[in-house]
Amino acid sequence: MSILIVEDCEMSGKILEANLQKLNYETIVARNGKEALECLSRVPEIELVIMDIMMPEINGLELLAKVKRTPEWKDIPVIMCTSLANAETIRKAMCMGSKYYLMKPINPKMLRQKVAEVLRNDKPVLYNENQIMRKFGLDRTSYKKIIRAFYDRLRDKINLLEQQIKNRTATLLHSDLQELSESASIVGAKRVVDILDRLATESEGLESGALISEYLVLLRELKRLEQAIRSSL
Amino acid sequence: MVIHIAEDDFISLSPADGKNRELKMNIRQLAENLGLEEEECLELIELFIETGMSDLNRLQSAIQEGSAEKAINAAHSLKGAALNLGLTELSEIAKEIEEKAGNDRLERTAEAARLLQERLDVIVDLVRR
Repeated sequence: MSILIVEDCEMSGKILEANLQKLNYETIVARNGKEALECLSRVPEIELVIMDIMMPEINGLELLAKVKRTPEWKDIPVIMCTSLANAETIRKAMCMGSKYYLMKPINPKMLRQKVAEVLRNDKPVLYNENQIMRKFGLDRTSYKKIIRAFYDRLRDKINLLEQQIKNRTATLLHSDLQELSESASIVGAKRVVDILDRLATESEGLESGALISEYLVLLRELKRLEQAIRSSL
Repeated sequence: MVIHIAEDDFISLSPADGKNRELKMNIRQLAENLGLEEEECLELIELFIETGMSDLNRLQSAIQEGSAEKAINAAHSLKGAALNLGLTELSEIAKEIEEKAGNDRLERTAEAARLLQERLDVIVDLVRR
């Protein structure tokens, strides 16, 4: 699980990083909004963004708007962490989708509490090996076989989806979605299952642009799942 | 100049007595406040000196150039860094500059910038001596 810290002040960045690493989160630090956008495009495992507001070039509110406007990032929770104690800015950030607004100087107790709260509400990318084995009465060898087979299928779907997004042809079949949803359900990939189920029921009425946006959300989640499985294999 | 520990501050500066200089840093308290190890705090203090001096240089150039935007950025950065270490007085001076520059009164920030330089010099001197 990675947390992206967007902070132009090196000291604040270090304090945030050290506190989050003590809680065993992986951290990535971006020094400005532009770097943050690059990180979000490059690293699908980012599960939370903590950002300052007053930064050069792209400020925190502009970055927040960009994140919430981008289909594959819009569900990533954002916490603002700033020394701007202006009521209008706080109201704006909360209206734009920020989960919390933390004031500087950084209060480690508050930071840890809010981060844990935000991430606790997130469903797991993949249930752990023991949970799945217990649920389906599998031994380790059978589990590895199933997860390997799922991983190969997952990679195929990712390639297919990437191709369709690139060509802007949204033609995933209902049967494709259902099949993927069933196998994802077995490995406990609840988040992917939720997206696939939503797509299966809602995709028919969507025009192709909206469907591509949904595919982007699905693609990001599939990549996170791929990464989670790869590190467990 | 005596630097003593205030109840809720990490360091605070008392008026200069011109003779004795004393630095008491409650590193353990600071570490606890920041959720860090003591060693990490010492690195932060060094970083504060480094970035604080650079922000101050940027601020002074901005005032000379008459660039309010640059002055606001430099003062804001200094304010945040000082706040992290509980240096409330320094942070208040930086905040005053930030606000004046934001209200088209950049020409009235020179005295505050000088005060900032003085306070920062004292900290640098005491930490590095």
